[in-house]
Amino acid sequence: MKLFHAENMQHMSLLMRFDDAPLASIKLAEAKFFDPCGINSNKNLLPDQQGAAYRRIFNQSLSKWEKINNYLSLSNIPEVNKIISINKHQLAEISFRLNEVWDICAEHKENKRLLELQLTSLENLFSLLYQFKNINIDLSILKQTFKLLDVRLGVIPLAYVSRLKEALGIEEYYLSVYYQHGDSAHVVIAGVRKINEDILSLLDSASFQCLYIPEEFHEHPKAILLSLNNKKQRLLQQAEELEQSWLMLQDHYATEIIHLGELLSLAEPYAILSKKMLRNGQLIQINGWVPTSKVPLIQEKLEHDIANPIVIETRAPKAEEYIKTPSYLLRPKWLQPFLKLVAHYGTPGYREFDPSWFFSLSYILMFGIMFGDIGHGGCIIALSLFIKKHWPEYFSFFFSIGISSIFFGFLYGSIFSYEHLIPGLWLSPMENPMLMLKLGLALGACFIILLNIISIYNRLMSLQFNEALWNAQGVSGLLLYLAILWSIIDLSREQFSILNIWALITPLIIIIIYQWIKSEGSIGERFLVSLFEAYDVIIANFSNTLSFLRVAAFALNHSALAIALLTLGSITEGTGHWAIIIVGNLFILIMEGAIVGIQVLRLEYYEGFSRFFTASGYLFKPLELSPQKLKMVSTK
Amino acid sequence: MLQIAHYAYLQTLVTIFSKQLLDDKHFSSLIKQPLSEILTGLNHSGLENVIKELYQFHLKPLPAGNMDNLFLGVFLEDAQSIIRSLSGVERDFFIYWIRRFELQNIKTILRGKSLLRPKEQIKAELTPLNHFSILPIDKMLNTDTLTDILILLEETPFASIARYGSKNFAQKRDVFTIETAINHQYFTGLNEQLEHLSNDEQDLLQPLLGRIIDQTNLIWLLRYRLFYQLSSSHSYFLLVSGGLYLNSKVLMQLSKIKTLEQIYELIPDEINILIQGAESIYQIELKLENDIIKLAGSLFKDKQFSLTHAFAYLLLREKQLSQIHALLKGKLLDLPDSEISFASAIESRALGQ
Repeated sequence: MKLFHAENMQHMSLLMRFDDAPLASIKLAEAKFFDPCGINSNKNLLPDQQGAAYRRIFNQSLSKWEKINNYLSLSNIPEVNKIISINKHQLAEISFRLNEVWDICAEHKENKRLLELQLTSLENLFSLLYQFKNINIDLSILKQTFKLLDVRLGVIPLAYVSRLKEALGIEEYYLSVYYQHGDSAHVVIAGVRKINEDILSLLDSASFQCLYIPEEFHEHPKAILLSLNNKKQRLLQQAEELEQSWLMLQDHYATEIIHLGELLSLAEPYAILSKKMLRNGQLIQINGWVPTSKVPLIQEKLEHDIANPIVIETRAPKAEEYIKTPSYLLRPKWLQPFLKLVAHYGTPGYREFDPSWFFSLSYILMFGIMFGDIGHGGCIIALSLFIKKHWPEYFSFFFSIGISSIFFGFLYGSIFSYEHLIPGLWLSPMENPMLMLKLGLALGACFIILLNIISIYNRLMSLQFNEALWNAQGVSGLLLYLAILWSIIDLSREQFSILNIWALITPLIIIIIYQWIKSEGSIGERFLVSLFEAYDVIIANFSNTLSFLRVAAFALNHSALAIALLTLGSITEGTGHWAIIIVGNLFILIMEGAIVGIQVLRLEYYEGFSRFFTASGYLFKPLELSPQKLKMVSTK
Repeated sequence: MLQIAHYAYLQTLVTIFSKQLLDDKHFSSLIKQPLSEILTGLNHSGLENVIKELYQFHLKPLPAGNMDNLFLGVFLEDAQSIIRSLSGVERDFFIYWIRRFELQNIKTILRGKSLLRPKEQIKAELTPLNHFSILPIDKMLNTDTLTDILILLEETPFASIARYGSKNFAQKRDVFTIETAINHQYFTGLNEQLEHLSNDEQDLLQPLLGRIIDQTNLIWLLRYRLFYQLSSSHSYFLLVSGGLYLNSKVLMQLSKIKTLEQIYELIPDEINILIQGAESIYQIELKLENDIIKLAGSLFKDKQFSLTHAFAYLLLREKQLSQIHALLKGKLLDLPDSEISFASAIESRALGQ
């Protein structure tokens, strides 16, 4: 296991018969250490076009399989029990079978949808019928058109009822309200039919909206209700039958669908690999990346399980391939939550310094300095035990910062904000704030020196020797930073001399000249760029170092909050006192704890990672047999 | 005694304001005087802004709309001071009364939009209501359809008006139906506002509001029947309840008329006396309005320390401002005194109706 960079990788090239490719894909997936890539070093080989058809059938089958799985609510996850290769013909058969099953499910689904529509429509009829409950006549009469009698049903605003009734009286019409709902009234109006259309303009002004009487309403309301109830019973019976048939479908197809899922998971590796395969006649070449330590494993798997000869070539990645080489990071389990925070920023390149260890240890250290308290650390550890049960992957993060908090709590002599209960092994931050601030700056300086060294290492590893020596983040930058620190110390001792000036000027001039050579444009532009680069280096060094004052500031802040809390607590006695102490400690634990956590992360990201971490890599993603994580394969 | 204490501040305020009212004799004498002397005579009528503006224009006619807005501004200032001294349902009643000016704006926007006029033109014709304005004018002007305007009104105190208006519009899709719904809803709402007041105030205000509704109903009825040729039933439906002499039964009878003359046979004596001699709807309206003002004058004198006293003042002030408006306009246009005298008498419709 490499502590500070990714595991060594080998580029593996496999040359085999076309027919062996499906089985080889499964074997590679089974090994779990082959990350396919599309590097083509042999000009006689061309991308395999036939794989596209395989991928298309695979995707169609997977889509159907997911639909069936969802519709039948199958909860069993397929598992690979027997390793067999799936060729195009077999995959087509799987697809055909899935289509057959889906057609049955789809028909069932459509029947269910139609039944639900009928039930909804029936419910609407019930609510419509409710409006006619006060009409004691055959509703079909209201739908008829009479020669002499004009009968209309409609809705008007409740406020208009009285006046409309009077107005209709002038036309010798009768109005009766048979149903009220909100500010609307359902009315029936009747009168002797007239030739003129005066009644229509009156009804328009009264916002009269004609009511539609459904086809089904052709009897007395009570008879209609009975008929609707009968119909509902029939539909509910059908729904019950459909539910039973669904259970039968589930029971009938569950095993088969799980098995088909297993077969699809065996087809997936070839569907993925076929995108990157190279072909010449009956020969197929598969390229990929393998961790150096796993090369024998892959070789053994392929040579043992594939009957025909197979040519396996391995070589170390070339310098120009570093950018395409995946980073295989082997880190202990307890480091995983910290790795997530690093991954949030980015993945280290293949030969780049992996900051995981550095990040984790510095995070734990700085958190402890800023939040040192035995009691609060104990609470964080208690929290970590709770987290272990529900989210075990985050346990080590909380546990380690809790330990760090307790350790510094002993140094400061602080327990639940009380700073006099136990003697501090070192001192309480508030006893000597200036010392704390100086130590904060010293910590920052050490941090930045270390980061500069890492930055030089990264440039050397990526064979950028000029950058490593002359750049502002290279040796020159480091020397300039050391010269600045030396000059500040000498100034404070009043020993500043000509040597200090030379130590400052020499790396600065080197940086300016290097920047001048590197930059393009007119003389004026290059001059400006170089000058600003030098200016930026000095300012950035100062500001980055000063940023670490916050480490000391938060340690002081923690002590100050403790003093404030105890002062508040001393106002009252008994229950009130303890209530203030408990609530105050909770406040410190939650609010200050969260703020300190964020501030440390900020220091790591902005003062740390930004100086050396390009995060230009990508993670090693080997081919796997993963029936639980089946997914579509891009067809492009 | 409680009544006096309750309305002491309102009474004082209205008494101070009432000093701005001119008596009929004083007003009649102004008609014969030249413009500069009229303006001197109006010094204590609360018209300082109007007079200042006229002098700025060297006593020449002001641009269209300016004069109307100046006079409305004077009236709204008085109304605002009175409303500020009230609270609760009494305040709501006065605000609702002033909102009829906003109804005019709604109608202007609806008409303008239905005729696809540019929004700048429509905006220029709107009445500025200052603090009383609650309509989202700009949003309404930026809408594409009349339905959108009605949707916007749903968010305002005119929600019920918009609701009924939009139902009618959805049926017939013409502005007339919306306008009739707006009128109808406004007066229905006014009756509801009146019912919220104390019984004493209701008793005092009822005759006055009843006459206003009678006048409105009669004029609408005549227009619907004789101008728009609506059917009896339709015309009756568009009227509002709450009249003093013209109750449902009478209105139902009146809605059957086919000529203006028939009205004298069917109308109750109390109104018949008032409109005797009128030969047009216009004259009927004027005569009924004079009666309302006469009643407002007597209530103003007799019902001190009451809401009715303040309400009557607002009616009188509005009427007089309209008369002065007509007088100044006539003088600025160099019209003969006889025409000014006639215009002053009927100009009461200028402010808001």
